Amino acid sequence: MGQRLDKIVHTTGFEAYKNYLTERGAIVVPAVAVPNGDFELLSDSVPYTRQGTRVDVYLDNGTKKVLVTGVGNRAAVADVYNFKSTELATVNVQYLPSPSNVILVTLNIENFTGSSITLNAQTLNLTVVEYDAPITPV
Amino acid sequence: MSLTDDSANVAFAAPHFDIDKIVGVWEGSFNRATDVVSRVGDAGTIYVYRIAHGFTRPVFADLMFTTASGFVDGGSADSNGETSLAFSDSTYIYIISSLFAPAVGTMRYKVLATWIDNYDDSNPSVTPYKSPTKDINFDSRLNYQKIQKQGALTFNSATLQTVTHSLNRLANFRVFFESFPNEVWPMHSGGASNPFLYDNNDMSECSAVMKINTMDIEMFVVPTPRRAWYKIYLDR
Repeated sequence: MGQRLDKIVHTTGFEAYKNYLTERGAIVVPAVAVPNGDFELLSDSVPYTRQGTRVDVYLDNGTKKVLVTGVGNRAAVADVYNFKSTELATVNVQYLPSPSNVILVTLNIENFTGSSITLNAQTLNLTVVEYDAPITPV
Repeated sequence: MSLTDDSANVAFAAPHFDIDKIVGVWEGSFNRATDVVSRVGDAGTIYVYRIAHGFTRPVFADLMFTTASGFVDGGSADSNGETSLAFSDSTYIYIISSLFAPAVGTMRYKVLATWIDNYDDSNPSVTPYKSPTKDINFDSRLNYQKIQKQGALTFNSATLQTVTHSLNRLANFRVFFESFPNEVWPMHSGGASNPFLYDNNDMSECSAVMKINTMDIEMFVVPTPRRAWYKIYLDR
């Protein structure tokens, strides 16, 4: 027998996103020179402890926050990243399986501005919401 | 006793807060050359794999995928440099297999579908879902991601709309939108740099930024009215 869901807050007939852990970290961008045509990879990783984990990942600069998972814009970080010039900043989120068991968040800064640039030093705060989801392990 | 003071730290607080309802999970793989269909836009042709979801209206779709060895989140690039998203209409969940050129090889995927509350005026019956691998649907020992505020906005033109919230912090959130009428997509944007933009005239883009007491949702290219759905979560 089915259930009508629009007005239901929760029903045990359906799974829900069980938030078992919220990890926090940071991606630190140093004031380093990036030659034209080159890139800088900066990352942070947080552990996950349950098999079948799915995550929502956010980056913020203290006043603005963006969602960088499940979105078709790896450059969504542009709303919180402090650009030096017209460099490209994108984000990737990887599920590293056992034995690593970490969520790896990588900020990729690519310089195609035509000349070397020195990045603006900054810190992007990382929030990783970890869900125990009804999926098999990665 | 009121739950409002410490509700962010409460594992489960019915009937005060909605939670996302997972109505289906699909895991598998497909051949990117032979198991896909094409979708043609004025900027090119993309190739999608279809999963019949069994519902009578769209759902929110979350994707994890890989064409290599390690899973990434939908929207990210795997170690082959491939990127993919999942979206839905009233019949299918679509996984974007490749953009602007047929691809080869296998894509493995995990898709979770959650219900869109009040999508339209209907309220159809939905068959209960239970995972074959995790057969406990509810456990009061576990925290549940609680929705503090959710709703839908209609965009009649390319513009920005602001949603207020009372959390006084950078809350967690999710946004989905109609990139085409009656197709519910995750946010995607970037214009010429958007790998998922295959129609410049009829395909909308959307982005969102959370602030201390507001959230801005912006939509681009809106030839006909398009909706966006937002969820602002209570959990810290």
